[in-house]
Amino acid sequence: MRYLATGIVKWLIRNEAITEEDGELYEYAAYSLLITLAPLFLATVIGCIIGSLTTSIVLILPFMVIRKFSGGFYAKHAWTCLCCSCGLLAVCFLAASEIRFHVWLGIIAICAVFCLIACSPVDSENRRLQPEEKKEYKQKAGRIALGILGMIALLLMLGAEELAVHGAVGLIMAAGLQVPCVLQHVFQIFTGQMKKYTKKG
Amino acid sequence: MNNKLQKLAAKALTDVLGTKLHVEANTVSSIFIHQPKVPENLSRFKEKK
Repeated sequence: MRYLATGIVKWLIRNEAITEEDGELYEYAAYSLLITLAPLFLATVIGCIIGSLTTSIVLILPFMVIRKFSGGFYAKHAWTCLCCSCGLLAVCFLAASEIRFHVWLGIIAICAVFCLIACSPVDSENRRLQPEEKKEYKQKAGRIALGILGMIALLLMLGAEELAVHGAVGLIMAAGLQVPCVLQHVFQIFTGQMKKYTKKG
Repeated sequence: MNNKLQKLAAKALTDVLGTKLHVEANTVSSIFIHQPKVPENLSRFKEKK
Protein backbone atom coordinates (compact mmCIF):
# COMPACT_ATOMS: atom_id res chain seq x y z
CA MET A 1 0.00 0.00 0.00
CA ARG A 2 2.88 2.34 0.78
CA TYR A 3 4.39 1.81 -2.70
CA LEU A 4 0.99 2.43 -4.28
CA ALA A 5 0.60 5.68 -2.31
CA THR A 6 4.10 6.81 -3.38
CA GLY A 7 3.31 5.97 -7.00
CA ILE A 8 0.05 7.96 -6.85
CA VAL A 9 1.86 11.02 -5.47
CA LYS A 10 4.59 10.83 -8.12
CA TRP A 11 1.85 10.71 -10.77
CA LEU A 12 0.13 13.75 -9.23
CA ILE A 13 3.41 15.71 -9.20
CA ARG A 14 4.10 14.72 -12.83
CA ASN A 15 0.65 16.01 -13.80
CA GLU A 16 1.25 19.26 -11.88
CA ALA A 17 -1.76 18.68 -9.60
CA ILE A 18 0.42 19.17 -6.48
CA THR A 19 3.87 20.58 -5.75
CA GLU A 20 6.83 18.51 -4.54
CA GLU A 21 6.64 20.31 -1.19
CA ASP A 22 3.15 18.87 -0.60
CA GLY A 23 4.27 15.41 -1.71
CA GLU A 24 4.72 14.05 1.82
CA LEU A 25 1.30 15.36 2.88
CA TYR A 26 -0.53 13.86 -0.10
CA GLU A 27 1.37 10.60 0.26
CA TYR A 28 0.03 10.41 3.81
CA ALA A 29 -3.47 11.18 2.43
CA ALA A 30 -3.23 8.50 -0.27
CA TYR A 31 -1.89 5.93 2.20
CA SER A 32 -4.58 6.83 4.76
CA LEU A 33 -7.27 6.61 2.07
CA LEU A 34 -6.11 3.13 1.08
CA ILE A 35 -6.06 2.12 4.75
CA THR A 36 -9.56 3.61 5.19
CA LEU A 37 -10.99 1.72 2.22
CA ALA A 38 -9.36 -1.56 3.23
CA PRO A 39 -11.94 -2.59 5.89
CA LEU A 40 -14.80 -1.81 3.49
CA PHE A 41 -13.06 -3.83 0.78
CA LEU A 42 -12.40 -6.71 3.19
CA ALA A 43 -16.01 -6.58 4.40
CA THR A 44 -17.25 -6.68 0.80
CA VAL A 45 -15.04 -9.65 -0.06
CA ILE A 46 -15.93 -11.59 3.09
CA GLY A 47 -19.61 -10.64 2.61
CA CYS A 48 -19.53 -12.02 -0.92
CA ILE A 49 -17.82 -15.22 0.26
CA ILE A 50 -20.37 -15.89 3.01
CA GLY A 51 -23.17 -14.75 0.69
CA SER A 52 -24.39 -11.83 2.77
CA LEU A 53 -23.10 -8.47 1.50
CA THR A 54 -25.71 -6.21 3.18
CA THR A 55 -25.15 -7.58 6.66
CA SER A 56 -21.37 -7.40 6.31
CA ILE A 57 -21.64 -3.71 5.34
CA VAL A 58 -23.99 -3.15 8.32
CA LEU A 59 -21.37 -4.76 10.56
CA ILE A 60 -18.40 -2.72 9.32
CA LEU A 61 -20.08 0.71 9.12
CA PRO A 62 -20.63 1.28 12.89
CA PHE A 63 -17.08 0.09 13.49
CA MET A 64 -15.67 2.47 10.87
CA VAL A 65 -17.61 5.49 12.16
CA ILE A 66 -16.89 4.95 15.87
CA ARG A 67 -13.27 4.03 15.39
CA LYS A 68 -12.57 7.38 13.77
CA PHE A 69 -13.25 9.07 17.09
CA SER A 70 -12.69 6.37 19.69
CA GLY A 71 -9.33 5.01 18.57
CA GLY A 72 -8.13 1.70 19.99
CA PHE A 73 -5.45 -0.87 19.42
CA TYR A 74 -2.90 0.02 16.72
CA ALA A 75 -0.66 -2.48 14.97
CA LYS A 76 2.88 -1.26 14.41
CA HIS A 77 3.07 -2.43 10.81
CA ALA A 78 0.49 -2.29 8.03
CA TRP A 79 0.95 -5.98 7.19
CA THR A 80 0.31 -7.06 10.80
CA CYS A 81 -2.73 -4.83 10.72
CA LEU A 82 -4.01 -6.33 7.47
CA CYS A 83 -3.61 -9.92 8.66
CA CYS A 84 -5.15 -9.25 12.09
CA SER A 85 -8.02 -7.30 10.56
CA CYS A 86 -8.82 -10.04 8.05
CA GLY A 87 -8.89 -12.61 10.83
CA LEU A 88 -10.92 -10.42 13.17
CA LEU A 89 -13.46 -9.45 10.50
CA ALA A 90 -13.89 -13.06 9.37
CA VAL A 91 -14.50 -14.23 12.96
CA CYS A 92 -16.97 -11.39 13.62
CA PHE A 93 -18.89 -12.02 10.39
CA LEU A 94 -19.15 -15.73 11.09
CA ALA A 95 -20.21 -15.10 14.71
CA ALA A 96 -22.80 -12.50 13.66
CA SER A 97 -24.21 -14.88 11.03
CA GLU A 98 -24.63 -17.69 13.55
CA ILE A 99 -26.10 -15.92 16.57
CA ARG A 100 -29.62 -14.65 17.16
CA PHE A 101 -30.39 -11.52 19.10
CA HIS A 102 -30.59 -12.31 22.79
CA VAL A 103 -30.75 -10.16 25.90
CA TRP A 104 -27.09 -11.03 26.60
CA LEU A 105 -26.03 -9.50 23.29
CA GLY A 106 -27.96 -6.37 24.20
CA ILE A 107 -26.23 -6.20 27.60
CA ILE A 108 -22.79 -6.66 26.00
CA ALA A 109 -23.61 -3.94 23.45
CA ILE A 110 -24.62 -1.56 26.28
CA CYS A 111 -21.39 -2.41 28.15
CA ALA A 112 -19.48 -1.74 24.92
CA VAL A 113 -21.07 1.72 24.72
CA PHE A 114 -20.08 2.45 28.35
CA CYS A 115 -16.56 1.25 27.58
CA LEU A 116 -16.37 3.50 24.54
CA ILE A 117 -17.63 6.50 26.52
CA ALA A 118 -15.20 5.83 29.38
CA CYS A 119 -12.06 4.93 27.45
CA SER A 120 -12.25 7.04 24.28
CA PRO A 121 -10.20 8.36 22.69
CA VAL A 122 -7.27 5.95 22.60
CA ASP A 123 -4.59 7.66 20.56
CA SER A 124 -1.63 6.21 18.71
CA GLU A 125 2.04 6.97 19.39
CA ASN A 126 2.22 8.16 15.76
CA ARG A 127 -0.47 10.71 16.50
CA ARG A 128 -0.77 12.01 20.03
CA LEU A 129 -3.79 14.16 20.90
CA GLN A 130 -3.94 17.43 22.80
CA PRO A 131 -6.12 17.51 25.98
CA GLU A 132 -8.79 19.67 24.29
CA GLU A 133 -8.88 17.29 21.31
CA LYS A 134 -9.28 14.31 23.68
CA LYS A 135 -12.25 16.00 25.34
CA GLU A 136 -13.87 16.77 21.97
CA TYR A 137 -13.36 13.27 20.57
CA LYS A 138 -14.57 11.65 23.79
CA GLN A 139 -17.87 13.49 23.43
CA LYS A 140 -18.16 12.64 19.73
CA ALA A 141 -17.34 8.96 20.30
CA GLY A 142 -19.92 8.78 23.08
CA ARG A 143 -22.63 10.41 20.98
CA ILE A 144 -21.93 8.19 17.99
CA ALA A 145 -21.91 5.06 20.16
CA LEU A 146 -25.26 6.02 21.72
CA GLY A 147 -26.65 6.85 18.28
CA ILE A 148 -25.65 3.45 16.94
CA LEU A 149 -27.16 1.74 20.00
CA GLY A 150 -30.38 3.62 19.26
CA MET A 151 -30.29 2.46 15.64
CA ILE A 152 -29.80 -1.15 16.76
CA ALA A 153 -32.86 -0.80 19.02
CA LEU A 154 -34.82 0.66 16.10
CA LEU A 155 -33.81 -2.20 13.81
CA LEU A 156 -34.99 -4.68 16.45
CA MET A 157 -38.34 -2.91 16.77
CA LEU A 158 -38.73 -2.99 12.98
CA GLY A 159 -38.05 -6.74 13.01
CA ALA A 160 -34.66 -6.57 11.27
CA GLU A 161 -33.03 -8.86 13.82
CA GLU A 162 -30.17 -9.98 11.57
CA LEU A 163 -29.14 -6.39 10.82
CA ALA A 164 -29.42 -5.50 14.51
CA VAL A 165 -27.11 -8.40 15.44
CA HIS A 166 -24.53 -7.34 12.86
CA GLY A 167 -24.69 -3.71 13.99
CA ALA A 168 -24.23 -4.82 17.62
CA VAL A 169 -21.22 -6.97 16.69
CA GLY A 170 -19.64 -4.00 14.89
CA LEU A 171 -20.15 -1.84 18.00
CA ILE A 172 -18.71 -4.55 20.26
CA MET A 173 -15.72 -4.96 17.91
CA ALA A 174 -14.89 -1.23 18.19
CA ALA A 175 -15.05 -1.41 22.00
CA GLY A 176 -13.16 -4.71 22.03
CA LEU A 177 -10.20 -3.16 20.24
CA GLN A 178 -9.85 -0.67 23.08
CA VAL A 179 -9.49 -3.44 25.66
CA PRO A 180 -5.79 -4.28 24.94
CA CYS A 181 -4.89 -0.60 25.32
CA VAL A 182 -6.86 -0.24 28.55
CA LEU A 183 -5.24 -3.39 29.98
CA GLN A 184 -1.80 -2.13 28.93
CA HIS A 185 -2.48 1.20 30.65
CA VAL A 186 -3.70 -0.53 33.85
CA PHE A 187 -0.63 -2.82 33.78
CA GLN A 188 1.68 0.21 33.44
CA ILE A 189 0.00 1.91 36.40
CA PHE A 190 0.24 -1.31 38.43
CA THR A 191 3.95 -1.84 37.67
CA GLY A 192 4.58 1.83 38.43
CA GLN A 193 2.91 1.46 41.82
CA MET A 194 4.83 -1.76 42.53
CA LYS A 195 8.13 -0.05 41.76
CA LYS A 196 7.24 2.80 44.13
CA TYR A 197 6.28 0.31 46.83
CA THR A 198 9.50 -1.73 46.48
CA LYS A 199 11.62 1.46 46.51
CA LYS A 200 9.98 2.56 49.76
CA GLY A 201 10.51 -0.90 51.26
CA MET B 1 -6.12 14.47 -25.25
CA ASN B 2 -4.73 11.69 -23.11
CA ASN B 3 -2.54 14.24 -21.31
CA LYS B 4 -5.54 16.51 -20.69
CA LEU B 5 -7.55 13.59 -19.32
CA GLN B 6 -4.67 12.62 -17.02
CA LYS B 7 -4.40 16.17 -15.66
CA LEU B 8 -8.17 16.23 -15.07
CA ALA B 9 -8.02 12.88 -13.25
CA ALA B 10 -5.03 14.10 -11.21
CA LYS B 11 -6.95 17.25 -10.22
CA ALA B 12 -9.98 15.17 -9.18
CA LEU B 13 -7.81 12.83 -7.13
CA THR B 14 -6.08 15.81 -5.48
CA ASP B 15 -9.51 17.14 -4.40
CA VAL B 16 -10.38 13.73 -2.93
CA LEU B 17 -7.06 13.53 -1.09
CA GLY B 18 -7.52 17.12 0.12
CA THR B 19 -10.85 16.13 1.66
CA LYS B 20 -9.17 13.11 3.21
CA LEU B 21 -6.50 15.37 4.75
CA HIS B 22 -9.26 17.57 6.17
CA VAL B 23 -10.92 14.53 7.75
CA GLU B 24 -7.62 13.19 9.08
CA ALA B 25 -6.73 16.56 10.63
CA ASN B 26 -10.04 16.66 12.50
CA THR B 27 -10.52 13.09 13.74
CA VAL B 28 -8.59 10.80 16.07
CA SER B 29 -7.29 8.09 13.99
CA SER B 30 -7.27 5.69 11.18
CA ILE B 31 -10.29 3.38 11.16
CA PHE B 32 -7.95 0.57 10.36
CA ILE B 33 -5.86 -0.71 13.21
CA HIS B 34 -2.72 0.98 11.91
CA GLN B 35 -1.96 4.67 12.24
CA PRO B 36 0.78 5.87 9.88
CA LYS B 37 3.12 8.62 11.07
CA VAL B 38 1.47 12.00 10.64
CA PRO B 39 3.33 14.67 8.63
CA GLU B 40 3.93 17.94 10.50
CA ASN B 41 2.07 20.17 8.06
CA LEU B 42 -1.21 18.27 8.46
CA SER B 43 -2.22 20.87 11.06
CA ARG B 44 -2.95 23.42 8.30
CA PHE B 45 -6.07 21.37 7.51
CA LYS B 46 -7.27 21.54 11.10
CA GLU B 47 -10.54 23.45 11.58
CA LYS B 48 -10.04 26.68 13.49
CA LYS B 49 -12.48 27.09 16.43
